Amino acid sequence: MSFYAFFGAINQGLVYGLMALGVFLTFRVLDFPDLTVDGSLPLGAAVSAMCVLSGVDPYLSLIPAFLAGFLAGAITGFLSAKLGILHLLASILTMSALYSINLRVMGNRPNLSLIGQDSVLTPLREWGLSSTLAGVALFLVAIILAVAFLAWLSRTEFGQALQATGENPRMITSLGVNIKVTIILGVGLSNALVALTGAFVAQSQGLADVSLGVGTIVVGLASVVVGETLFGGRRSMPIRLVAVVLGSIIYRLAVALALRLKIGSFSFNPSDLNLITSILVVGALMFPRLRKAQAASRAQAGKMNRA
Amino acid sequence: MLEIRELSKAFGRGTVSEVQALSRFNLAVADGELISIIGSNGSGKSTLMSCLAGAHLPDSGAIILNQEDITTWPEHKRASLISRVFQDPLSGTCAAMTVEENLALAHRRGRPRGFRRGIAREERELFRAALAPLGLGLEKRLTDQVGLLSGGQRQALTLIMATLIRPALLLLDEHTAAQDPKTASRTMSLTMDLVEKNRLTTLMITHNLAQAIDYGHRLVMMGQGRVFWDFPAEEKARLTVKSLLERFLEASRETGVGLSDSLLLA
Repeated sequence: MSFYAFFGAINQGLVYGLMALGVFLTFRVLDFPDLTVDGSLPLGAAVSAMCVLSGVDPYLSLIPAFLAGFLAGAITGFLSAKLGILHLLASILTMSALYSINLRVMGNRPNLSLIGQDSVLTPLREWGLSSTLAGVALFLVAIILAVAFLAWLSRTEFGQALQATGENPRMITSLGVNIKVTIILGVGLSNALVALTGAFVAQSQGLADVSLGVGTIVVGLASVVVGETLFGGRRSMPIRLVAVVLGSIIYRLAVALALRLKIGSFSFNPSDLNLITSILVVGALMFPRLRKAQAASRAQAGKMNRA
Repeated sequence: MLEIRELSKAFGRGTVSEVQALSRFNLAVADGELISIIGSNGSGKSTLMSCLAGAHLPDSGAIILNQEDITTWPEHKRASLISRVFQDPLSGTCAAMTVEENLALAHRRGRPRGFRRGIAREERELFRAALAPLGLGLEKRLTDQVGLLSGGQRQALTLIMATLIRPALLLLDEHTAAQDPKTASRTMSLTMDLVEKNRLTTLMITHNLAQAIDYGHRLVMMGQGRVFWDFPAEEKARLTVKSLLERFLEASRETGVGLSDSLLLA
């Protein structure tokens, strides 16, 4: 793999690592499968792009993007926790509605070009870094801050209540926590991180596109399960968070390798990505079960040998 | 002091399968009193528990706890006054969280959760002191995941969690039913220790007649959503499983509950 492709993959792995942390928060901590992310990623991109185009500082534009994502997630949480709509369906409803909203945010255009505009990478590029390396540096800082924040949060009273909401809602309700509130805030925070990813992606590639979010949930799940499969599931929260980020980076490296693969005249297109990723997620989800079945059949064979 | 006044609750109202689970149910529980509640399936025990805990809203009547009318309080708000222990030892604790994290969640029962540390340093001493009398060695396993404990240990932990902050009312919902006889009797003596030491007002549902006779200050038999028999301490002391079962059959004949169903209790 070329130097350029390698750091390109690291760059992508880091920025989409933020999104994967958001997916981890809903999918693993809250036990709330949330498809809102496919809509909140382009929402963050659209909000940040519109801000930059109207003269807002690129760094300041991250704040409204973050808040917009939080709101989108909170709406999904509200539909599910307060109105009693099945969580998966609630998130699909929000995701679908966000498609229309994202087009509105971008002034009824399917994409916005940011070429020639200042971006979050501009200061770093002025120091002479290439845009890929500037992205690696900036997103590395962002992901360290995000992991540190979530690790801190997991040890607070609220964070503990959030974990208990996902694991044993009946118990935590009997201990006085309103799980409707923890679900709304938790899904909100998750989508805020995803929207932040969208803002970074739009600024670093100079384009906000309404179809940017297609397949986000599958990529997020891939990062979570790759991280868990390689670094083990039942560990302390900080280690689990780092595993998700490493999962995201390894996923991008694997994709970069797959795209260079040539078998005879066959090779993969970038548009095959969602198919490859889905197969990867199925494989990673089956892996622990296969290992268990294998261990069971070995134990069985041992018993037969003794007999 | 708990007062339950004329509490009624029906399910499936207006349909052929309408069930009057509670029918103008009245009960007063003095401070520090433990009442064992028995009754066949469908007698309204579980509905009473879920109305007290806030999982169901009654159709009419009132629940007054320490002079406060809590009839319509949502479940999470009642947690400031009420502690619960469930039948399934798995449902009272979080398996993936540690012993001290579970205790810290219980130590904040009924208080808003903010961004302070989930476990304060000085709390660990308190947790060790609360766990040591169990004699299970849990005070040395504060950072172990609860999933590593046995069912009996988890139920003991749940009882400690329920009483870490003194509740105005303790609800025990068949909390020994899923345990083997030896573990069940250990859980019961722990329960009585905690109830006596903290003078806890307690309602205990049980399917075990001997347990209902042996423990507690009063025994209430429910049938058709009402109090069928109410044995105060001195009468309860004279009861045997056999005499209780006879009363039970008598109640069954009057209410028309099938014999086979009431025999489940024996």
